[in-house]
Amino acid sequence: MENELRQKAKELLESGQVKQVIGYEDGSTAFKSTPCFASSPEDADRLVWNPTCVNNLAVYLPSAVKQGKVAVAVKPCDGRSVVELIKEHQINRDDVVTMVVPCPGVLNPDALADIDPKTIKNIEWKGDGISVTTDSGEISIPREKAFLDKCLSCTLTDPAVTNIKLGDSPERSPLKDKDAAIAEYEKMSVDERRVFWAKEFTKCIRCYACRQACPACYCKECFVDKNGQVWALKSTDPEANWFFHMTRAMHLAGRCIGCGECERSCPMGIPLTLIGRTLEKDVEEMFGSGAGQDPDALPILGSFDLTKDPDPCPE
Amino acid sequence: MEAKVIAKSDIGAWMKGLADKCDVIAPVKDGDVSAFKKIEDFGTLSIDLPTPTVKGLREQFTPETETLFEYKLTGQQAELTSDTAAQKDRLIFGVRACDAAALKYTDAVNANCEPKDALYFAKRKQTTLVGVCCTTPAWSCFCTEIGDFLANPIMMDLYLTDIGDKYYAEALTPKGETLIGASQFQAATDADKQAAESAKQKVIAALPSPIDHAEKGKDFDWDDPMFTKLAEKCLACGACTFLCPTCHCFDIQECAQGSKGSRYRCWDTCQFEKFTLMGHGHNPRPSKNERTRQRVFHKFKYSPERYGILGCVGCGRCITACPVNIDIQRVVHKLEADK
Amino acid sequence: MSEEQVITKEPETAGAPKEWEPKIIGFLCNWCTYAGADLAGSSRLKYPANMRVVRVPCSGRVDPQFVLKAFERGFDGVLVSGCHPGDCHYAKGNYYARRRHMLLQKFLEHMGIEPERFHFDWISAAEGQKFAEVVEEFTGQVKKAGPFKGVGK
Repeated sequence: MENELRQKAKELLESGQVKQVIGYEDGSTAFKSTPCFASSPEDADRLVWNPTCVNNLAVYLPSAVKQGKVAVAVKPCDGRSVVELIKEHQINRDDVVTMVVPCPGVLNPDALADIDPKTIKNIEWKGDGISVTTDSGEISIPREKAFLDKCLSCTLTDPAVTNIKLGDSPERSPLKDKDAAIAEYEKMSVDERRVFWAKEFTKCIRCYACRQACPACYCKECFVDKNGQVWALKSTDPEANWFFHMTRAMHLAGRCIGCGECERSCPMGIPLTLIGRTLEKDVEEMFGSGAGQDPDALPILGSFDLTKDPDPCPE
Repeated sequence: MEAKVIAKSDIGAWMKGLADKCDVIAPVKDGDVSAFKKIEDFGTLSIDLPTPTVKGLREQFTPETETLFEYKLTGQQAELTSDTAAQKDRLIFGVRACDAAALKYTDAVNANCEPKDALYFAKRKQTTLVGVCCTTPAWSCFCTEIGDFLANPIMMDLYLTDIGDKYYAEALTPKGETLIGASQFQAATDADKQAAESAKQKVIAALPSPIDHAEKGKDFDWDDPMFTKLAEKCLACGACTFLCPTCHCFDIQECAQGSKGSRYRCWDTCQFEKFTLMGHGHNPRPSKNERTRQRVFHKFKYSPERYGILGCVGCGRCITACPVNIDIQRVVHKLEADK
Repeated sequence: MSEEQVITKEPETAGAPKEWEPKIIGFLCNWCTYAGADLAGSSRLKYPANMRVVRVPCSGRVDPQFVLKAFERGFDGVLVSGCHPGDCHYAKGNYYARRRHMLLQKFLEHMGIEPERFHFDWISAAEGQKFAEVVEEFTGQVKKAGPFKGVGK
């Protein structure tokens, strides 16, 4: 698979079809990979594809296309981000070559909790789950433990903007219900939820890793960075933190594809995907379609449907 | 200075005794993250050792948001209040050697200006630090490459080393000597001392060997092409710098609500685009290229030049926190090889 | 009134012993609801004085941020109201507003703010009566929900 990816990347770069290929390469340890920007055929040899390839590389596209056409390796989930970016006119369809890699699921860092990280030599997909090669031998981790939650409930097929499909999509059936976490969360009363989030948002240190890692957060100037009209304070008061996260969530309404990069990037462990998913579920229920499906669709909150939209005060 | 031992089972009782005189702060686990928190209940005390806290000691001395003063307008009269009421003395328990060492750097930074940072030093003065020697370093730890403070701790009052069912306690300051005067401490034997020594050496052996970064940093290449590569992948978030125990930059902001308001300072970072943006629109560090370089150069080149010490203690927090796996240890090694 | 007064001033309740009164903010469209409020006033209709009105050009002007800011600052309830479908002065501003605020109301509930504290409605310039009724009903509803405990604790 990795060879196929490298081969394809090399072809694209050699023929000059693209200026660069964005993929993954080995990171500073065996259990992390890092984004790779290959601009020559030799660079393409560094590309890898393994369970540690967690990043959503679509985040780089709006700036990368400024230098010319870009090919990007995406998982089916990340592909939804590319759809959103095209739909929202942040990139032109013609400026991006979407290479969809077959994805059995990506690594949940908790899966390695019992292994001394310094002994890990390699991580690869094996059978249903992953196999971790360590100094003291090979350890198999089953699917339900090995992969991120989003992967266990994943039913995604190739995104609507697929240009190149590498390998065959792995056969898999979801192990979990997509909304299992939400169902659990919704058991809380409204007031318990208020207290829950007040506590979670107190942790926030405003490093904005959530925002920066999010492919849908591409504003040139975020509302929280504005110095003139200060809507959101830069202070980390619980109220100010609440306002930042709530406003950001509303800005993502109908646009969040649920890649989970916000939560993964958050150093303080705030369960941000819960916010995105509850909101997306509402959008799907109220307006019938979700984010990242059709590049030609109109944005949910930038359009309306006279025949279907709910009436707030039926006569 | 003097050294004694304390049984692990006595730690709770000892801290409870201290709590009468001062606030006791220790790392506790809350969900997935551990953080320094004021201990209220010593009965069910479970101190999270030696797992590193997500944030170091930075917030203990320069809180994320700190009010400088508040004002209130009544007609033409303005009333200013600043909350300078003395805090209670406090003892921070379970400090890692690297986090304590970072205070040497932040002390130097905050003392190297006029007027000196009063808020910072007031808190420093009121704080007693009890360190604990690490037992299992994290994958990202590289403190031994920076300095030998794991074996010879600095900036703390008492240093505990795990020797089985007890801690070997070395007093490093007069404050520390007073601490081990408590009834829970017993005289240490030679065997205890040796056990502590070998425990320290065992951890050090698992960590990288020392490198003279301060010397090598002098020749870093300003135009190293690596920064273009780093800038490509850097997301420009502040996770690295906000978790860094030596990073100390802040922003001053105001919050006005009608006729009252406040001026506060809050953490800021060189990784944000607006950090260096000037009023007239010029930005001396306009792209991520300059900003990624600034972080590395500030710690490994400018700081030794200015204060004589490195601006990095090798705690590894920025490495674990980085969403795109930018590893400062690798970066610095590469710079040193490239020069 | 200054911003501070808007936030802190207690509604006047003549005579009666002082009980808790909710603080409500209303974002009213200039062309319909604000005129409706005017009509209610000139028709001498009675309705509770708990609501501070902010006149906006169109319900489509009401950014969810306004509503969130109100709750952040401790308001007990927020009302957003504009022209009926088909009546928007700007042709379709209210249609955008409808989607946005219907979603916001659900989202607020998910995040811990009772749906009773937020109301979105159509009130035309001719509906002075409806305006008084909506404000009365909404104020009662917020009163029943009790003082808002805030978003930070």
